[in-house]
Amino acid sequence: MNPTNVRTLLLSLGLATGIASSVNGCSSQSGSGPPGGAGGSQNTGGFCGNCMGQNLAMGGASGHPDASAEASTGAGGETPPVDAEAGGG
Amino acid sequence: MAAAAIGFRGERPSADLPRFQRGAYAPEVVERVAASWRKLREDERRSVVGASLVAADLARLGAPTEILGAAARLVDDEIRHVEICSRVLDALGAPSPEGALPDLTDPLCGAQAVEARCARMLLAGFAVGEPMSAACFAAARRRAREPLIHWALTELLRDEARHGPFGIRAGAWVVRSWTSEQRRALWPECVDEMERFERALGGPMPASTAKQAATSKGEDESRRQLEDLGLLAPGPNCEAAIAGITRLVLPPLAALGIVHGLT
Repeated sequence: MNPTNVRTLLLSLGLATGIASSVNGCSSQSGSGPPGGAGGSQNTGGFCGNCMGQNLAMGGASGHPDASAEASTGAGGETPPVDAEAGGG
Repeated sequence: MAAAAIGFRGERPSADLPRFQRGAYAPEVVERVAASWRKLREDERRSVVGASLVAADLARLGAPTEILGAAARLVDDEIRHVEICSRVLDALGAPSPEGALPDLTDPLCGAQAVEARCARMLLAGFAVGEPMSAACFAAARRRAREPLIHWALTELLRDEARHGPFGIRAGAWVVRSWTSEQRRALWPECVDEMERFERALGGPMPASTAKQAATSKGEDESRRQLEDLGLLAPGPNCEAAIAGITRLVLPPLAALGIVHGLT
């Protein structure tokens, strides 16, 4: 199965160094999220928030509450047009 | 400022935009799409700031003129992207004024030695974020059926595909005398950038997405219209970004010694 998120991708490639803190904090729920939870991150500061089930449930008008601060680094890439209301993947 | 008054060094958006077929879409769908383009325009304006900062830092560091020229082209590209977004918004019937940006809070732009900041912005910023952007723009363009959106995504994608390699090329010059330890110290920041981008797309997605919730016929139609207008759900957006990391981000970072053990 192809990796579906950054964390599982890097773990599958043996490149976990950069995500060591996340691995330590969330090792029991590696790569998991709420069932169908594709509604957007609550921006809790990383994967730990996702492991704690704080993503919103599918179908809700969830979006990304802090997208303006998260979406662009000003140095890297621009987030493509993103449907802030999309609930499902 | 009128588009015609802007003196771009590089390619300018073509003068004739495809006509938007407004009647083919529900008003609420058009509004969601317009909101996403307003957000993208703000991102692009931030990128003008970031690219300008990089260009200035490279000049201070004594970069070769070939790299400075590429940095200037980058700034030009980002300005052009702001214009493209504005023209899409106008065509969608949703023109909106631009306001001042809030202060930049990104850690990559933080005050520190010029060389270190420049290396971070080029290698943990541009070399990571731009290819992920390009992968998402390409995925959206493949699904977009609306000529206006297809045009805009084509214009953006043409430049984005060039920006990642610029980050690598200029970054390689900046870190040319760095030790392997110094280079590897950039890797966690590269990962941070990947995760930030992923969150901005609505991720991270759960490990398995095999079980999809049932959707109503109306939701399906809304989703189809959104995809026709190039607006993808978090799932396919994240899928494209992850594929972009594998194909476009990791190999050059490995070649520079920033990440080791890539199999």
